[in-house]
Amino acid sequence: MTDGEAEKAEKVEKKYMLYICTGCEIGKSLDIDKLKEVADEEFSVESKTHEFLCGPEGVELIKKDIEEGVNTVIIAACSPRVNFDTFNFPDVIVERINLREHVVWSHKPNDKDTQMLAEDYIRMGIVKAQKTELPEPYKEEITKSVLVIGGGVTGLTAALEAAKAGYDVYLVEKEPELGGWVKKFAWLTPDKPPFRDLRKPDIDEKIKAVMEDERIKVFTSSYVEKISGQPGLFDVVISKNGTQEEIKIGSIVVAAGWEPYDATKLEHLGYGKYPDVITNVQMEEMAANGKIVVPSTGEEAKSVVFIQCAGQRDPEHLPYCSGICCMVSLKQALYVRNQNPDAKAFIIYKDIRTPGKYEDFYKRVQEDPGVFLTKGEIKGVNKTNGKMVVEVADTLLGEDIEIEADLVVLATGMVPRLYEYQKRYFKARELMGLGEPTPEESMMVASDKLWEALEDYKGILNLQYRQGPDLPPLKYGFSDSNFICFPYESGRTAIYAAGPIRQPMGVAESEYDATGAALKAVQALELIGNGAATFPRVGDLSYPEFFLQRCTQCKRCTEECPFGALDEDEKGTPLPNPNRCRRCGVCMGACPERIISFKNYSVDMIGSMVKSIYVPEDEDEGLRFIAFVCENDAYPAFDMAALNKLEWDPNVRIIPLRCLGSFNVVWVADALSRGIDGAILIGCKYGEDYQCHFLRGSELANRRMENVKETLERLALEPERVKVVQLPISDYDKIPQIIQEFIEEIEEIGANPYKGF
Amino acid sequence: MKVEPDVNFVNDLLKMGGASLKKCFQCATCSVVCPLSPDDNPFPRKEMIWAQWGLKDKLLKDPDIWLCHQCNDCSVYCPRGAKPGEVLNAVRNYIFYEFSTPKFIGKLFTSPMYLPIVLLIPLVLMFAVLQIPGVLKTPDMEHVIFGSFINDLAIEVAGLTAGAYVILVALISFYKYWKAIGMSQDLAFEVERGVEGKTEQKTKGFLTELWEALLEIIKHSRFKECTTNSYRYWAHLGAFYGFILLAISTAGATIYMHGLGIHELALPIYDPVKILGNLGFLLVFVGVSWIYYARLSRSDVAGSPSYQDWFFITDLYLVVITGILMEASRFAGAASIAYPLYLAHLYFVFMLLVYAPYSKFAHLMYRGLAYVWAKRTGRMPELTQETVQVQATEA
Repeated sequence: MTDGEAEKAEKVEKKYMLYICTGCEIGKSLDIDKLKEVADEEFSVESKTHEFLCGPEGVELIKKDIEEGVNTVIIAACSPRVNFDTFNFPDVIVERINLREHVVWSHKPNDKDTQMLAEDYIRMGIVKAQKTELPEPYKEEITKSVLVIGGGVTGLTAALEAAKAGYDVYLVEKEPELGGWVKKFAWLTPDKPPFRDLRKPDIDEKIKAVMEDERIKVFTSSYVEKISGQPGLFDVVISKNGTQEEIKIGSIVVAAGWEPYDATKLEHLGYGKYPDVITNVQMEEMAANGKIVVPSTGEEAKSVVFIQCAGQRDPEHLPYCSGICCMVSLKQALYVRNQNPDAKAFIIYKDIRTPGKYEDFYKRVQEDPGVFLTKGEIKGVNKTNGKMVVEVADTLLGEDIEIEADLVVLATGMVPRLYEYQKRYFKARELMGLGEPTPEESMMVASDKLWEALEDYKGILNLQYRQGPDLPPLKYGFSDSNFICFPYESGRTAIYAAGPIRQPMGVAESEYDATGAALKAVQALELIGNGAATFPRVGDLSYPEFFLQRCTQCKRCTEECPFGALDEDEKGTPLPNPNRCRRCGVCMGACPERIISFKNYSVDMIGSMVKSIYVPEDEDEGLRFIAFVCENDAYPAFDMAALNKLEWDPNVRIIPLRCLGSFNVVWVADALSRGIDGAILIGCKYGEDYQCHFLRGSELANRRMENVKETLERLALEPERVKVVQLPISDYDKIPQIIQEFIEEIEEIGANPYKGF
Repeated sequence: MKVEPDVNFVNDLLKMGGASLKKCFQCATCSVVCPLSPDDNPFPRKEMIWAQWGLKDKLLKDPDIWLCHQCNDCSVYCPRGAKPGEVLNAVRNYIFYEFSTPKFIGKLFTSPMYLPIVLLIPLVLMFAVLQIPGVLKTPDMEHVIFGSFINDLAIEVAGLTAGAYVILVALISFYKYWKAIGMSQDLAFEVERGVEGKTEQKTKGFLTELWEALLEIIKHSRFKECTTNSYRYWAHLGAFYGFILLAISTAGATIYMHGLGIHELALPIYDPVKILGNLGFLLVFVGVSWIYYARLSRSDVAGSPSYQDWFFITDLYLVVITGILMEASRFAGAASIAYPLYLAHLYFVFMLLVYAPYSKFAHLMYRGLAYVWAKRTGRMPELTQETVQVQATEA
């Protein structure tokens, strides 16, 4: 213990009380007196029992003790994931011991091993409470304003929504005019039942509303030159016609949008070769100008072929589906048909993808007798006798066909504006000697290589972050986010991505997206203003503290922080930005010097919990295993397994971690040097389709296994004693099997020779 | 293949009973659930897209559409409400028109708009015949004897004339369709198999094929495969055999008149010819009533009838109803009702006869031909195992 820590420990004297609930089968399945004995004899902690602790009487019991001076409440009852509001006592340390789900519901009642398990959890819980301090929030006077980048439909909506919620908004648009792509569109696909009629874009009303809103300040022909600082306290430099303006910003919505895929790369579909082959964007502009004509002759187009997935779902071009082009072509087919009742519109598709109720719009267009649809592969687009001829193979008509047309429209896809940034990521990977990321890898790159690859890159945000100037992109250049649960989130705290920069989407979806992102931006301001964390540890008041005297400038923390929270001084010492932090503890896990701690989460705390586990000297009394389990998905999965009456081996002790990324290698030494036979790390799926709530925590934990191997070698132990497992929450039913397989592997190696040392 | 969709053809099909055809999104559920479709290049999925694309030529030379008996499994299972059963029916209606001779008469059956003309033509013709001296007589009001009202000979002459006309135009239409479906290349016959290319199959000879086809028709064995609308087998069987019995009894009456010299054709109820006729009436009446009931009470399963369907079964219904009422009023001695009913009956019978090549009645000829074609090309799959088993248990 350092001097500083000793000082703090002295500051508040802890008065402990352990409460053991005997309800929910706990009392029937365990020897409660023996548990009380452990607390009393080993830790001198008093304890009380109650048969219904979460009931009003039980809560009253605790409250009364708190009034009488108890300030550290240890509750041995149900999972901390339930009744958290019942057992929420302000200004008091509350520690929960999960006797219900993790002991009695998942193990044999009144069994020696189950009793030992419960006793160990009592020990671990008390030790954890001993090592916990009440967090004091990091609070600074912040600016509660929102910066919206992009003046298209997404940006305009986000600005209006944030302003409506009562926040000042700064809207930056690079073009001289607001409105983005939608301003150029003739009609939009219907967004309301019965999904039949095209609607006029209401973009002009939106622009007007934004211009008239007193809370919104609009910068056109402008871009963000620089953003420094941290959420709540961003210093933003906006450049307009060479002049700079500096503003203070609290949070940011990035709605930089998309651009059409470069059709000049689609020469095989006739683009660039024939003037009568155009893109869907050109078609839209033509319709907005009034008439759909054949470019080469200027005459009305009476026969139009739409080629879907032009340069999409194609490894040579865009490998993904842009999700909206089917709706666009269906809409544009109606332009052709509405212009002339004798006109024909052909749509050649790979699959028609009209998600949700847009299927009704597809049905409506299908009904038109002059619209002809077939699946097919384009074999060639040529011009013969002044007419375009499209050759299609593998059609539903049963044979290859040739369609004569006046005009060919290529349904090109959406390229996110982060695409260029993503290319630099690939370049950085190249500089690192890496190729395309494998499915087990995310796009993570070394930041010095990234900066090298950036050179003349003109960014969207131009963040002055050590880890790069823009939102970390995914493989295809869309902004990284927690795709499944929290789509607006990005890899940068209080900066939210909305609209097609995040995922290909249409106008209605972009509006929903903008609303969601604007509200997240507003929510972030309120949380940060209170010194609380944003997603996923919403409301967490703790933050990492760095004992920098012992820092060796190894830069692991600044490199690995998934949110770019840490900058560096010239020497490489981390410069923390608490408002950028999500409190995952990845830095804590990375630090070889173990100088990063939270008030209520530290290397020492977990290490002490590990050391508190009773390890029988005689292996006949049972081996001992630790499961370091991610709090976000794996821990609830264990709860779910218990709820479903699944049983797992009683010799496993579960220690929840904020994120597997906060796993510090020293805990392996702590555990195995005491004779614990093996440790299993259970966390979220990582790699391309990761489910980690902190983007790459589980991936980083897996990478640290190299260091773990070294530690084990030093101890002359087998590397197989430590294992990382990915567990999606829905796979809770596999838990007993996962545990069993691991135990069998260890049993094959044999007991830890350090037992009894 | 160069495709040039015929939008007018699409619109015609939409109007002729295929209103739902554009709804198809080509999932092929229909082809999978169809109990009658062959495994190789099955219908009706391919017909659906040809119809959507207005590929008239393809559909007009595709006899597969006659292998469909509108069991409607496809329509019931269609996830999109595209009702392939009704679409194929519309295509068949179009074929009645397309191969009709002369075409302007066929055109009269493409839309209910022309119904007044359709009703007027036989009326005018009948009226003209009745104007011929000696045709219309003063009826015997004591005993109902129809021969005393209208000259039997005139009816025979008119009937034979109309029959000759019908046979002539039907033969022309038959030949046109014969050519269209490729029956004229009679030795080595090619079936288009779409992407799988073409296969050749030797003909077994027209007569063998015709015989096999006739057996199928007589047994209604393909109709029997229908599961969703199993009533159709019984209803059609009733109407079919009822019609045959009526034809036999008509022949019997002719024999009575010309062979046995019975001039006053007022047969008693126990006369064998009369029994056959009444039995025929009963079968047709029950069959057609059943069809009416099914089509009206549960059109979602049985299928909504097209105009052509309505016209044909209604005419048939009126023929048998006026016929039985005539008979009843004759036995009741109600002369004032019996003679007008006789006129009406003659009118409906004449209409049924003279419009046979243009109305749904013509399915007899086209479907019969398609059966021969199917026997020749192997497009008619063997009975399913299920049906074979059912038949075995029944036996």
